[in-house]
Amino acid sequence: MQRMSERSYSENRGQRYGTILVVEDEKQMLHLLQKVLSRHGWQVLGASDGEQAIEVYHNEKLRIDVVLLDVGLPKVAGLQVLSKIKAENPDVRVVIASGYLEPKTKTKMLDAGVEHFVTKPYVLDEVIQTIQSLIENNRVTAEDL
Amino acid sequence: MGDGDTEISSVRVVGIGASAGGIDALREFFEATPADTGLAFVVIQHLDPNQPSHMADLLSRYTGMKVAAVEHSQKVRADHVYTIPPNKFIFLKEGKLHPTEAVKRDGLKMPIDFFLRSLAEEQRENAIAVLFSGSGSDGTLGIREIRGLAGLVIVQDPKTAQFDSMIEHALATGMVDYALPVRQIPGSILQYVGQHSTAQSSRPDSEVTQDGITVILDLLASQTKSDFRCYKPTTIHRRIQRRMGLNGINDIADYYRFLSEHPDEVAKLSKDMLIGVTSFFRDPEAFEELRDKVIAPLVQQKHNSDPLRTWVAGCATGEEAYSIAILLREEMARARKSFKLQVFASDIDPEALKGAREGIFPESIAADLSEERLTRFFIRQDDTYRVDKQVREAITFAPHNVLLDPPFFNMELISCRNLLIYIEPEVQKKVLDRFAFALRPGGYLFLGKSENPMEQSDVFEPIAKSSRIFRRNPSASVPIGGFAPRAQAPAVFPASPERPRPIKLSDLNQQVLLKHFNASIVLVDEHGEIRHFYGPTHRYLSHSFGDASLSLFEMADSRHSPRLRVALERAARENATVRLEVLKFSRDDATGSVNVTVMPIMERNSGTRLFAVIFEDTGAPVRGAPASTQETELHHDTLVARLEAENEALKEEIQETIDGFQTTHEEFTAANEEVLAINEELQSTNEELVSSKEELQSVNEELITTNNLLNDKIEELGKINDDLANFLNSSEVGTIFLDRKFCIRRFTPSAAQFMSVLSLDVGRPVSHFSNKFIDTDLVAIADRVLKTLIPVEKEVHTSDGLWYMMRCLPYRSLKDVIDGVVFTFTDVTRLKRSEEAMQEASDYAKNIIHTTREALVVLDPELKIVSANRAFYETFRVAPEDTENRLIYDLGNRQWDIPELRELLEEILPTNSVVQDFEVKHDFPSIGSKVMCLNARRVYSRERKEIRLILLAITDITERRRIEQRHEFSHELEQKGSEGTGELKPAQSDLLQDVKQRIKLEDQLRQAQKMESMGNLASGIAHDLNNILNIIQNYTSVLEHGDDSEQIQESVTAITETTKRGAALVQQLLTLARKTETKLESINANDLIQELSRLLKETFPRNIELVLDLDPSLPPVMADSNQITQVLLNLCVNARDAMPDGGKLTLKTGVVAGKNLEEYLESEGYVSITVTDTGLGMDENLQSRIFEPFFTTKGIGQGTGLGLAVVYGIVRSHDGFIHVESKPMHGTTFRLYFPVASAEK
Repeated sequence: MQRMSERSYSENRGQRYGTILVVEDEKQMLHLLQKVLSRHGWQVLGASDGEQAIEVYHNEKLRIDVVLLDVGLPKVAGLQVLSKIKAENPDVRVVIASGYLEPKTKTKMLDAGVEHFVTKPYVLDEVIQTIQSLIENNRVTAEDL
Repeated sequence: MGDGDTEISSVRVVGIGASAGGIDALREFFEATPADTGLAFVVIQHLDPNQPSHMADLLSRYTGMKVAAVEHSQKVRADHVYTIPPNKFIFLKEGKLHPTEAVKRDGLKMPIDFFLRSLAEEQRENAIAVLFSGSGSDGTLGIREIRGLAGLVIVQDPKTAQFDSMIEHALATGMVDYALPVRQIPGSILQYVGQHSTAQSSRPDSEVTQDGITVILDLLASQTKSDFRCYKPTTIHRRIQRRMGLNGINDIADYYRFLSEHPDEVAKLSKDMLIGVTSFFRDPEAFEELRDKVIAPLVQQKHNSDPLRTWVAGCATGEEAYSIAILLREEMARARKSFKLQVFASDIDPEALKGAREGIFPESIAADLSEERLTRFFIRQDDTYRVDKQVREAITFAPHNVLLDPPFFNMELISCRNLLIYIEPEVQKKVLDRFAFALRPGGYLFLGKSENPMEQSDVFEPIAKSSRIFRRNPSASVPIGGFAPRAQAPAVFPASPERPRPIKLSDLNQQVLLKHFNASIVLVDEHGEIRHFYGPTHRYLSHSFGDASLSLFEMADSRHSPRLRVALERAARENATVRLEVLKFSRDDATGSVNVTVMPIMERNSGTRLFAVIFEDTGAPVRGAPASTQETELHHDTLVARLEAENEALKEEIQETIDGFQTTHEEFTAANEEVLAINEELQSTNEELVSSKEELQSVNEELITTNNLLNDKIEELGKINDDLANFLNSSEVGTIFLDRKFCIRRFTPSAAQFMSVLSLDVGRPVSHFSNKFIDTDLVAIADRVLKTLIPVEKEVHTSDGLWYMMRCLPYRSLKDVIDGVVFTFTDVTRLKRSEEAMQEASDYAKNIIHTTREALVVLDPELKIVSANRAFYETFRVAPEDTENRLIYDLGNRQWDIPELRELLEEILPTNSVVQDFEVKHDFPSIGSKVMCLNARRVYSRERKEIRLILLAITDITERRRIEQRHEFSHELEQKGSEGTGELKPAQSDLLQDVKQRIKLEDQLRQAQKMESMGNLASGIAHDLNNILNIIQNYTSVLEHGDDSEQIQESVTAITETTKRGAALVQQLLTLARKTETKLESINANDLIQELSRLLKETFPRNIELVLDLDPSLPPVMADSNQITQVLLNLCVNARDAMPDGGKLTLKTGVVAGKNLEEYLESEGYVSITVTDTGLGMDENLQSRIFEPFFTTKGIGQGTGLGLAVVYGIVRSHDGFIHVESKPMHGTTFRLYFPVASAEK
């Protein structure tokens, strides 16, 4: 685990392509994520509540590749944010990050087509890899076409 | 018909009087009358005044003429029949029939007299009256008037009449022309009318007529004692015409022959001539004036010793004489005088006088006499009236001809009415001269209406011109005498016109010569002036001494002059040759006798009349021989003879002088007559004008009065109308008046609020207008009211939500006739609203009372139960019917007769309006021992003057007290237990155990529920903890790989803070979950809320915004803080669950006064805690069940449903309240109220 993260820090250093929207209400955590992911080479946009998340996505949806979405959010809950951005772009790629997901909520998210979940407390590398794979998948898909 | 006679141009009217039994006669009459007679018929009957008459209908079956009742004034038309309406009289005036009010005298009505009199006056000689079957004497006076003015009177033959008394009375007057069977009457009328009009067409002044009249009058004069030659020719002509008409004779010459052959016709004509119109007090005004101006003064002046002498000339049947005698007697009685009355009543008609003397009159005179006079001066005899004996004896009736007989003398009053109008003016003058002679100086003359002593104005001065009363001027000289001897009645000479003309004398002479030669002839004019001498006239004529004269009478022998004069005058008068035989002449010594012939020479060219006086010598007397011998033989005889002759001659001369004088007089009087006639006409015209003017003035005055009255009425009406309009408008009651056809007659402006009517819509049907009323058919209602006359009252509402009290009443006019309906609409919206509000409030109050779990009783001031709620009946197991209206102490076998209750109600409550928490413990036989908390309150009337009701709330706190006691008990037990339980009995120990067990269970339940609430927080806690861990973990990994000190410092700080946060969360959970002892203490709710909110912030979803609105000056409450926190936590968890998509949760604190919560919580303050969410909310059904145990909206396994039941239990055990307010989709608010901790506690 430590190795992986070490490797990832070393391998992934440098310029990469892609823009990530990070939605996280814990300020300290959001700060850390922005720092780590941008150092990884991605463009990082942040939102600390549901309302902000919807607004940012609406404005930047053309360049946002992946959304990292916390579930327990002030103002607008994660599930609602998910349905909003899905409505804007059905092909949006979302990674749900949550400390506790009630089974009902999880079912709804699966129904909405979310495939990637990370559970708090998570390891940052896991998050980065998930995002990485989503961006690359996307690219492969594009090339295949 | 007539040519130029204006009276004839109007329709001739036949007045028909009929009474009992008259219908048959009328039917017969009209069946026999053709429909085109040109006459009008007026039927006068005695009708029942109270029954409508069907006469017009009845008659129209029998005649082709139009039949009409005279209900109003109308012009008389030919070929019409008019009937009298019941209870009315009718009269004819100026060609029109007028109805008038019936006049009743002495209980009798005389409509026939009334009408016939008007008919006589209007149509005079053209009037025709017919009387049919009937009883009584009505009509008698009427026909007398008709006949008096030369009209025609026909009666039904009394033998054919069912009732003949009316006819017999008429016949008794002698005024009836015909008495015929009914069928013959129309024919005789028509014949008469036909003849009459032909006769009338003959001119009265034509020569033939004149001659005829003269011979007829001569005949009358010779065969009867009456001489009418002094009567006016027009009067005479009219009367003769009438007789001619009656006898069917056209030509006056024929009539003369008829007269000569029928002596009875002479008598009839004579009688006709004498008929005058008379009645009692004819012209009552004139008689009044006579009384005031003549009789009263005369009576006043009279001494009792002197008789009062009065002469009534031409008294006819005596009415006038009796009238005057009555007046005199009345005035005598008034003046209390008793002198002798001498009334001379004269007339030339002995028959009339006979009747007058009798003094018997028909009952119909009642119309002319006042009741007073009737009773005082008349005696009723069957159906007649007889003049009182005293009055009769005062009057001397005597036959007397004013024209011929010497007059009475020394009279104080002469009454001669309507006589002069019939006679010629110059005779009038003569009569007046006689009256002047007969009157004492200063005596009075009372004449008829249209009579006037014009020429004697110096002798008679008027004292009352209108009624023709004159006074003989005492200073004027009166011609004495002037009475012609009876045999020498003055004859009427038509004045012949004379005009001098040039004459050819020689021609005349030649004529004479042809007849007489050898004769002495002189031609003289009518005055005896000699114009021409022929032959040896000197033998007979000589010049006398003195002035030269050519007068025959002077030139002739003076002995013969008178005879010559007479002869000449006779020749002149008679226009015939007059012969004087054997006149002796002596010339010188020679004497001779001569025959003198005076021959009028009739001029061919109507020139000057001349007379030839022819003297013929008689050598030997042819016839008068003996005389001549006697003369020579006997001087004495001769002298006597001469004197006689002279006397004879003188007589003749006097006669001739008189005749000549009279001739001249005739001429003057003829002229005078004309002037008088004209004057008379002018006067009557003037009088008519004056009376018309008076009438007009009085009519005008009446009109002015009527007009004023009307104006007043109009003004009054206007005011009333204004008042009414203002009243209607001010009442603001919408009012609509409808007529019988439901057209709008009137409405008030307020009506426009619900109906679109304008003032110009008056008269339009109400159904044309829309109104705002819902389900109200005005026309149907109006129709019903009009049919049933039962008013309708109904509350109606309009489409704009207003309510009106509608009333519909029949509209009654002044005469109580239903003439439509009246709608009124009173706005009762406010009333209606307040009624509804009251009803609502009442329902509300009732519902509250019945819903509340506390037993409530309402008492009246006498402590009788007015009502009680369900809780009361249930709790104390009594029935409403055994409770209401009974004294509270008497309830259920006096089980409420509790001393403490009495104390409360009778001692404490009267001095305090409110009593709270008064505890009473009582053993009820039915339900056992109870501890009750009583709250009582007096309810005052609005003015707070008297107690209206007493409210008594009874709370059963038996259980609460028991639990509290157990608490205390167990506490005690524990204490005692710790001290040692040895002294306790085992049973007590069991009981203690049981109680302890129950209390423990309750606490456990509460604790379990608290755990459940915390379990509800679990997911939040998990989420939060994982977040905390996530931060710690990732910063830790930063530390691991960290190379820059700043990063390390930041990570350490983050990890430290987050760790603290986790520890705090755990501490809060522990605090909450800790099972603590129940402990009441003074706490501040704000502190509890702030502490709880920290936990909620961590554990509630982030999309739920938590808002605190805390009152900083919140007073403390006595509470168990652990239990209060549990309450709040439960409510917040419920709020969270109600907001799955986030929202706002508000916790608010404050202070409220107790009375704002419940009315009886008067003085205490309460702390309020409000928990408000913006979630799903609840409907009413849900709200009512939320405090039930085990009720939940959550799925199975998600909750026990005990949360709110626990909340309720905790709040109530703190003497608090909980209210809930919710609205689906808007959110829910729970309000908690806890009593403020009092300072002492």
